[in-house]
Amino acid sequence: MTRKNIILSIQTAVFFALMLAGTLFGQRIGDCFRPSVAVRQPEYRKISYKTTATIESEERYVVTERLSLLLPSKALRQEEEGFYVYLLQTRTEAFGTYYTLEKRLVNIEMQDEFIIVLSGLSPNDYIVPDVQELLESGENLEAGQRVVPMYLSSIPGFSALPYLLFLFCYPTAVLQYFPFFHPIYNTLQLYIQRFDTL
Amino acid sequence: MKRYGTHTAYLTIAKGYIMNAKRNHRLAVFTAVVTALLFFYPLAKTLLFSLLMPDAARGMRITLRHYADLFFDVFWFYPMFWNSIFYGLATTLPALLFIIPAGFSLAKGRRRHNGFLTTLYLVLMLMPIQAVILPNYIGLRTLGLLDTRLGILLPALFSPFGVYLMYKYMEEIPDDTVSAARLETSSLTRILLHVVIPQTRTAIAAVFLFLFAEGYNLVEQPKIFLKRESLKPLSVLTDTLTISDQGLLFAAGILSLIPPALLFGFFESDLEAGIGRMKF
Repeated sequence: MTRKNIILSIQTAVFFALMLAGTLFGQRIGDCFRPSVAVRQPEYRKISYKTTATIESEERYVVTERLSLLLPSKALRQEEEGFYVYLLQTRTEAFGTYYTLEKRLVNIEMQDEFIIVLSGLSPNDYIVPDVQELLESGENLEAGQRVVPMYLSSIPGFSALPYLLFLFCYPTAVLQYFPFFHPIYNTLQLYIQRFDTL
Repeated sequence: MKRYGTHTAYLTIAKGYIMNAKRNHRLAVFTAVVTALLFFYPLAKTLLFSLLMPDAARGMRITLRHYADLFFDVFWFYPMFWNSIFYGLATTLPALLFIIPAGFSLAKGRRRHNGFLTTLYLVLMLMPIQAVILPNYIGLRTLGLLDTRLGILLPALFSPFGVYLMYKYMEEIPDDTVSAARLETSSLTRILLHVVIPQTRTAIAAVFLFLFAEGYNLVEQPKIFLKRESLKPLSVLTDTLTISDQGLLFAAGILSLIPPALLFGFFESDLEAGIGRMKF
């Protein structure tokens, strides 16, 4: 084997190893650099409880005190044009799922203990309640920006640096791709989600 | 004197040849440089645009952002890349199983209609893909292979170009070699495996390289035969991207150049030897 062929073999091996690593872990690494937003568990984050109240002959969604978890006050933000909330939009394409933030104006009425959403939200909307914290931490969050939903940000010690350092052995990545570990991974997920709802 | 005069005349002619050769050499170098620049220009432009990003303050700035986006942000890049590699290899390796015996048969077989068959291969080779894509489409639809990987692979298995190249190369093998081998064995497969293939290694490498490049860069077939995005190769990524993703497009273009370039590096000497020995 000539020297040229040895160099070429090394280059080829490195290139394909990088592509393979990218295929397996590229999105995960990308997630480390994206703003993470926490959302509640599906049964909590959906506005599943719908009470219709007839006010001026219109159907309205009333979020009662009982369901205040669904629309916590910190999720509601105010600008000149009115109140708005951030929603998590899921778009599934051929190669994966995109999670983006949508800034949606809502029309609300404050009535004593009740926050009545007159318009702007519909059942099954995924509200992101923790955007406030994210904005305070200095993240330049924009509507339509790719985000990491759910629990990844809640894993202690989860940051880009250890992920890059232990690219091939970081537990979350390994657990993701080996079916044998899926029960452990699912338990971990449940724990994190429960932790998140507290 | 006469001899001297002849000698002078020869010298003059030789000088003329040398001058001509020098002039021709300069012309050849000039042509080569201009052609290389012309071919290099789109590549350089692709590389440059893959590194540029619009900036409000400075107009444009140099960044690796497009590459980072491609590696860590877009979902389609890796599956498309592996699809390209798959189509490149899966069309080439099985095709060689047909190409080598077909070339051998055309070159060394004593069939009455070999000349007609060779002409037919030549015509098929010269026929543009656009001319045969509709019959291919109808055939694949009848077989229920539209929107499948097999629909891309099957028509590419039979490459007239590869067969013709192999035929031209195998023609150069002396008939006596094959006749001598026939004294040892009556099996054509053995002759092919033990006598012909070892002598045509460089041609096989050349054909492999050409077919890989063809399979890797398929455009028309995936566009027409495939509907599912997950089956499409990197060569049709303009369908996936919008005009706002130009930087990504250029970065993906540069990355998609690497596998064929590496393959060319491996087979460069074989390609030169293989093409050099062919007589057209």
